[in-house]
Amino acid sequence: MLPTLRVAHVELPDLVLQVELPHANGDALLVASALEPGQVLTCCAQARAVGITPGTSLYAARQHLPEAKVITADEATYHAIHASVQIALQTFTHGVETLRLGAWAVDLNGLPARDADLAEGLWRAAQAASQLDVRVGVAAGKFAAEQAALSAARSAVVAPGEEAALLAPLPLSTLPHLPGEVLRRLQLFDLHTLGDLAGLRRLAVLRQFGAEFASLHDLAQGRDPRPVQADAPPLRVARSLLLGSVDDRGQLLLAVQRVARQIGQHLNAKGYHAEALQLTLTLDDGQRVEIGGALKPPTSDPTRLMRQAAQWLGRLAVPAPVVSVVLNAYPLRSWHLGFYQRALRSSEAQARDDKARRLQTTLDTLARRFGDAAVRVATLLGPPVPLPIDVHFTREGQPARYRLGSQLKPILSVLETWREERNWWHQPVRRDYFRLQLADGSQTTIYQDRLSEKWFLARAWPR
Amino acid sequence: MFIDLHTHSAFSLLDGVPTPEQLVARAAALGMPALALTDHDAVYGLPAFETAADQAGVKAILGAELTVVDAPGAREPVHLTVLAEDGDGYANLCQLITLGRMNAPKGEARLPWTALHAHRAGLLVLSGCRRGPVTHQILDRDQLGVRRDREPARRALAELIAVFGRRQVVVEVQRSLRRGDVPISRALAELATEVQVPVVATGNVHYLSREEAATHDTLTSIRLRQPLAKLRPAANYERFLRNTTGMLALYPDLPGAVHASAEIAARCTARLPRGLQVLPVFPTPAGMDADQYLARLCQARLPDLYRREPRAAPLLEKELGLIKTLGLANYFLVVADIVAFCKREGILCHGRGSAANSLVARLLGISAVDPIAQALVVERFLSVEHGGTPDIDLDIDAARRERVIQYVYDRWGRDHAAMACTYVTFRSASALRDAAYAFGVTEDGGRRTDDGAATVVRPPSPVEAFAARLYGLPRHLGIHNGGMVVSGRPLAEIVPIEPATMETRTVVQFDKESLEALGIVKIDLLGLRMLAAIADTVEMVRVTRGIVIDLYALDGKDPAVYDQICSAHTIGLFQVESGAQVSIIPHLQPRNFQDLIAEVSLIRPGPLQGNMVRPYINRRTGREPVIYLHPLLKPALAETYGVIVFQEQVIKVARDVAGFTPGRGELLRRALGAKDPDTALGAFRGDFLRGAEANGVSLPVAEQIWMMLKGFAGYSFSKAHAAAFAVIVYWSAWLRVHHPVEYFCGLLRHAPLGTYPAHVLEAEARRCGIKFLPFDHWQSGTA
Repeated sequence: MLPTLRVAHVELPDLVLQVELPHANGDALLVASALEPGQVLTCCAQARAVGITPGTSLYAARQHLPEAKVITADEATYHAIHASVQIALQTFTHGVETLRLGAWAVDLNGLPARDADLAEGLWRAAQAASQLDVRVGVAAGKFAAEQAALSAARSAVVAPGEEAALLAPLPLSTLPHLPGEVLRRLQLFDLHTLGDLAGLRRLAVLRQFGAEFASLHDLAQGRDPRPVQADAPPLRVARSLLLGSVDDRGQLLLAVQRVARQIGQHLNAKGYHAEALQLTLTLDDGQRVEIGGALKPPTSDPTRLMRQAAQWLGRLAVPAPVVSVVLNAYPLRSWHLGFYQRALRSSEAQARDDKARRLQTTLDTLARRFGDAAVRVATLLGPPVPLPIDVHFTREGQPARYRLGSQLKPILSVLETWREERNWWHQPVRRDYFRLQLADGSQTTIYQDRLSEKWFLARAWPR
Repeated sequence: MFIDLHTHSAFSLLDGVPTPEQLVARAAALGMPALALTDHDAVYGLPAFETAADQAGVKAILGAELTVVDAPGAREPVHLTVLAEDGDGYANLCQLITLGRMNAPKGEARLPWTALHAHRAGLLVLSGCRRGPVTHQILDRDQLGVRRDREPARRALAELIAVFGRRQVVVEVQRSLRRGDVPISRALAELATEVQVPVVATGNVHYLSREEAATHDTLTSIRLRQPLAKLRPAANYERFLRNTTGMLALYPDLPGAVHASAEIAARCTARLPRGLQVLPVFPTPAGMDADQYLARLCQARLPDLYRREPRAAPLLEKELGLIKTLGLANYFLVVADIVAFCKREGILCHGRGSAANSLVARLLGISAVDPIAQALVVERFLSVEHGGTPDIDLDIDAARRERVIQYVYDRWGRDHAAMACTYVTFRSASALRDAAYAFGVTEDGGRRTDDGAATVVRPPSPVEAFAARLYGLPRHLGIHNGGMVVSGRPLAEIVPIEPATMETRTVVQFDKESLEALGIVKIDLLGLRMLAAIADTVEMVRVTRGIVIDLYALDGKDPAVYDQICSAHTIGLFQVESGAQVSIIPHLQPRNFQDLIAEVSLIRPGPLQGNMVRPYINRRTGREPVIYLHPLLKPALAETYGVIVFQEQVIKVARDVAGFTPGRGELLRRALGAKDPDTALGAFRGDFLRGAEANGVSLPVAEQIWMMLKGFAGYSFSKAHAAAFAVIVYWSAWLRVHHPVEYFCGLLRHAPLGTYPAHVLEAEARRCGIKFLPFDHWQSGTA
């Protein structure tokens, strides 16, 4: 018995056309391939109607549709959109597989939310990242999910066991990588739809078309055991700088900080966290000196990487002038884990099941181990937005309780107070913080903005 | 009662805002009976701090915050707050700072932990700020709270006690409303109780008010070379000086830590070592001490220079007596040794300044000026009364001066010799430049962008406002022009030494004023390009013409030299080539050495502001009569036709008119040159008027004389200094008259020097008929 899969397919249908059509100003459009000059990459419905298809020569296409506007494909833009949507999808899970430009399979297993919520969430994230038409389908396999997405106006969820019913009316040409000869023979047998194929006995199919056709038969029956193969980050990212025999520590420090900053910027752009750094200096006598270690917690923060690299440089004995600096960050991992999952889980009505409690415990342990700030850094969203609250005081002027929306939180005691003041030159921050022991046993932090005299809940993490 | 034992002044160099004087004033205003100054690895501010504290009635506690590396269990350098309990403690503090500074590049300090043990005596150690060896071990990773495991902190405290002893260690707690302050200080207090050492609260003061915190942030931005926008800011603006009430409000649970500061302050009694440093013992012949040897050297030379001068021997005896009383014999011998080295090595050197007043200096070859012939006053140089230390300045051939400096280092050892420092302060341009950097705008007013491109926008007004706040604050350490300090005991026991930018030099942490205030004598070895040009001229004449010139043998009476000067064609001559000098030459017509001295002295701010120049010239040329406000002025002012030209004349006038002793007269002269002469002269006016009245001078005339003295306030030359310069004027003029080709060659070789650039010197040489030929390899010896 195969484990049940839950897969979402996210598609930006006709990504290239979606991007380029606004530039056609209502005219017929031919998009010329930038990689294969002289060929049509894609075209509008009007062009397709006259027989132009992707791969048609541009010359022939112009003969058929001389009034069509020709635009050369802007590959960089398409890939940038693809990358931004992928990063958005990875905020849900690192199990995101790129199928092709503008199409992804997302592994939903283990995500603590209903399929419909997930489908809607994915749609919103992809749409926000691309500003284009998006389709999402959720089913028990990649193929079914893809077909569900393509047939949906926005998002569609195929209930477990309903995959075959969804696929039955679709033509055989829908099957991926179906050899033309097999299709011809199937049609000779008067088999035209996936439902027709699915109705055949498995043994008969194997005998007629060979073992390699078995997987296509499975697909037609709605069985798709192919796992989502997540796009893996590279094993390492390296940046180097050649120096002209530098023995000045100050210059060396600047060079190391420069490569560290470059790595940080790259990791941020790609959505990875480095778990370790290694600094290698090549001396002018050919000798190499190295230092490195783990980054706890993993980070892509350029400032932290620069500080860490500078610290290691400070510990490194450099006996001769340095001719090159190499900084390696590895192994890498996606940093989009955590916050969305916590957010999704908290939206569930039955959030207090065992699994959710275990996740909560893990996150709290991480926060205790590495600090709240570290956990925040390790998430995509940065610090949460403070929530305005009303605070009531005792006669002695101590906070007695606060109201957040309709919730009233009695305060047992003030554990600690501190003051934060900074940014006087730009957007001044002046706050008095109170770490509180609440009556429900939890601890929280509130602060008073000394400029507006208003009170806020400092931490808005989902609990 | 709370006394802050951890404060930083501006002498923490870009990590503190208030001057030591402002800190003391604030402490006095808060009713604090004592205050400690603990700048980062430095005692730069201690002289000013102690002086200000004495004046304000606040007890000064001497200390520093040391940067220590390789502390047990610590990966990063840690900070230790160290206070001197007594003289030994101060000496050890200086030694530790020296060790830390010498173990790191200029501007930094890394004191090895292992060095602490050898220099622990007399030191009281506070466990430091959050970067302290103990606190550092108790902080959690994010510095927001305390670790559960106290063992590392316990071990760190035990290590500290093992080095300094339980009685000398105090656990320091700080609360400045930072997150984690309360749990950290409670944990530290528990640890202190457990280990049975006292706990004390400190402020870790970096500024005097919340408003000044912005200035501190700006300084931090400059120090770390990061614009404010990229700076990791301090948590808040709470590290200012608080009074007892303010501190008790922060420590409701630990009031004992606040009050303990007074007990610790009471233990710290160290004072800066004032008075003459123990000079190196100059090697003398067996059976002779330095005084006797000095006397023998002078007396041996006396007959050569003063065979027919009856005043010489008594004057010498008087001077030697003064030198013995002041304990300066070794000082003179050390300077004479430097002069002897210069002569041995053929390096032209010449004493300037008040040393020319001294017959001993003349006999030892330090000065070329005859103090008897020029009627100079030795009290201007040496006086028991004014207590100031003598300051011998040597002008040295600039091209070879480094050899002399290195000779002093080698002769007395690098532990016993170092150069004086200077505190380079923010001036208008540097303050604006650095403030603009901090605010992320370029100097020309454009906003700086990440790629360096700039747009044209006026700098926002905060830049100018903050530039004004920075103005005058010390920015970094520089090196004095040539002031060297030598000492018999290791110098690092008196004042810390640190590396200078030049690898072969080291500097002490006191500048000229601080050294003078503490009575530490220095020797100024000043580079003078004119001497380098003169030395080259003499050498070229010897090589090309075979004539050996002995400059010291010139008698100063060559008419051709004075004709040259009177012609006003003085371009290329020392001191008398400027437009102002040339304008008075036709009127003054100098014909002898005395006239040269006057010529050099008249064009100075003092005589100019006092309106003395025109009367001097008119009276000398007979256009107006020589009159004196009172006959008593005649002895002092006769040589300058009734007007004051030289600093010494102030002393003489005060002596003759008001009966001031020479020492008090010297103090009056100094007051005239003070930054705020009105305030400084206030203490003398009454005495002067009373003294004048006692000598039969009517009050209105005495007032007039007093106003004449006041008018002389401003920079002026002492006659001795002017005479020393006049010697070089004469040398340069003599060489120009008799060997013009070699002289202009020497000048051009060392250009730029003096008033004019090289092309003007070349034009003057051509005007004199000197031909300029293309370069000749054979003649120049380069082929």
